[in-house]
Amino acid sequence: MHIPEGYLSPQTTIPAIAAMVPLWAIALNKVKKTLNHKQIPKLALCAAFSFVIMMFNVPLGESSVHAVGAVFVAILIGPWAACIAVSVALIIQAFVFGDGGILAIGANCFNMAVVMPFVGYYTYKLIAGKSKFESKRNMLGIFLGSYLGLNLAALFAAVEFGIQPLLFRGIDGNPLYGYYPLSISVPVMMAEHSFFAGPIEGIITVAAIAYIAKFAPQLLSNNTIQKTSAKESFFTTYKPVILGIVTLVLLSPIGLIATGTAWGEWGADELKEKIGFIPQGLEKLSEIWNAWLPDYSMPGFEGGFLSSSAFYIASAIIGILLVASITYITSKIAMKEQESEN
Amino acid sequence: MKTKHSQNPKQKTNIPLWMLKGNGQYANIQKQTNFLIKTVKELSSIMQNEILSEKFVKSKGYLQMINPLIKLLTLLVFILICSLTKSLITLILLGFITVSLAKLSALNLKDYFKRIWIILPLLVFVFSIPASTSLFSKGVPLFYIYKGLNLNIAGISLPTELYISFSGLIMILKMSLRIGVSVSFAYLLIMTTRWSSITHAFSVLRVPPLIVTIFNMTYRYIFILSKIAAEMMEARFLRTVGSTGGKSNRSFMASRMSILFIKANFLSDEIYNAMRCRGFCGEGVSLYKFKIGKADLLWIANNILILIVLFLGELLT
Repeated sequence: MHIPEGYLSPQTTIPAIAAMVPLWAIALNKVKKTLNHKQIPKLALCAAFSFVIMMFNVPLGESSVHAVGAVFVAILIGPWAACIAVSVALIIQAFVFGDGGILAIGANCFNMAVVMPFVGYYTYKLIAGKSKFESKRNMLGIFLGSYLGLNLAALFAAVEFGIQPLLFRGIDGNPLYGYYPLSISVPVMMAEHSFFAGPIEGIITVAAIAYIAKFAPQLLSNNTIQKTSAKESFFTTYKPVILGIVTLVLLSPIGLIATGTAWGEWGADELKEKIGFIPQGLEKLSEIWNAWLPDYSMPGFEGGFLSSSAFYIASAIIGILLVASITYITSKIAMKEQESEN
Repeated sequence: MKTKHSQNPKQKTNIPLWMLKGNGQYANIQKQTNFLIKTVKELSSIMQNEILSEKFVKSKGYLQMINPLIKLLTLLVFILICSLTKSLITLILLGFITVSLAKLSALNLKDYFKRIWIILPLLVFVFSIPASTSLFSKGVPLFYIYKGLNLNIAGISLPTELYISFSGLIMILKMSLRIGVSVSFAYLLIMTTRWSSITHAFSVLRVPPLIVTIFNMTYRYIFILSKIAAEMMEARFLRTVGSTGGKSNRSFMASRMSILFIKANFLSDEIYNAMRCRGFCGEGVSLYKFKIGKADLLWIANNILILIVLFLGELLT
């Protein structure tokens, strides 16, 4: 479910990061309230644990599926602490192992570190109520919690994929980022997660919690990092989540306004409109360029396959030569400087 | 297997023939333990990654001598540009920049291509091929899959023509390039920078010290927990004989998950005590001191020039 870099538009990923920042801050505050120094290693270990169990392949027939385990962590240490632990794991995955994009961290964390643990945890609490840990009702709660948590996270990811072609299209009318619309992304993701990954996640979580209840029951009772009080009303409990979603909704139109024209594809006229003037040198440069490549028309590829590919190749070569020489020369100078310093 | 000690005539060894045979008759076991092998492979790739990065971080190269904070910010800017651009040329140029930086930073180009370009971008490209057809994208047809067809299967009428368009192909090419290039920049960062310097850069960027401490500790204990987990998988693999069902395998994975959690929990208590004994009072201390040298200034100048080239390219096309 890790969304790779570049599949979502920056107009989606950056608001997602913006929405995650207050959520992380609130999570940290919530955890801090009950947090003494002792919880720092505990949170770190839980994050490392979340990281490692995301690599567990759970057998399913001849094949296997990956576990996510966010609901498992949420039930054991509380949803807020789980939010931090899973986020830390996802961020390390993005930076160090390239699983999921760096810009997509906001979206990935929202799906897997907010939606999944919270939906899972509160579904579990709702169903299990005050029943005993070994009771069937409790186990049903765990199963449905992790099943729903994973599926809702998948639904969020599918919607994030699916709105891309609706919102972001280039001049030629083709999608700029993700191209499969909601009518495809949602059924595909949901079929996979509701029939295969979801039940497996549920079974695994139930079995793992049952195992802990049997062999280390003390971990389930008093050792949670953050206890949620049952007295809080719906709104106060979910305030940060609602806040995050509202921020997302509010921020996304800003992205839309900014995409009146594709970024960086402003012609000289549009640039004039946007910043009021065209730098003179630029205008001249533009003339020289036009003289070099007359009659060239880019957007609709009216020039046909051959001439546009010739243009591509020519400009790519010019660019590569420029960039290569700049980088090579500066790197050599920098290396020399370094050597003379040592 | 004719006799107990029959030998392989081709090899002059004392290894009995049955040992040299492929485990065809154990194919069933192999199938059953596939998930274990996969998990072990993924877990050990964490360690591989670290060993490789440690090797490259130490070697003398261009990116290695840049201040981690500046490197982090510039590479993030590149990733952002990569995500914003609509031009194929810009993406090709950015791709070229990643290759040349990898070369100048003394990275192993073979490993770079193997890890970045062979897997994800290619996969995305293949999965995106349907999107380049006329079902999803309009444009000048490049070649037809079929034409002038009037088919009606169970009430669903197929479109009369289906083709792959030139602009559709460009579109999916851009997508795979964009993914490959962004992952390349992340690869360049991690292969030339220690995680501890990246987290120190985080703390300079005002990430709360508590979070930075958690990042550092998490990274360290990922290796320990993944080693414990891999050993559990290996132990199960070695003990698997006869046939095991999917149910028992799944319950094995669930119990390993909980054992790992119990161990991690136990470990965290011990670590806390050890930290207290060494005078830990709530905040980690970084031993790094960032200073901006001539190399950093040159690097910034270099990238500003590159950005100008990219921007002019975008503007003029």
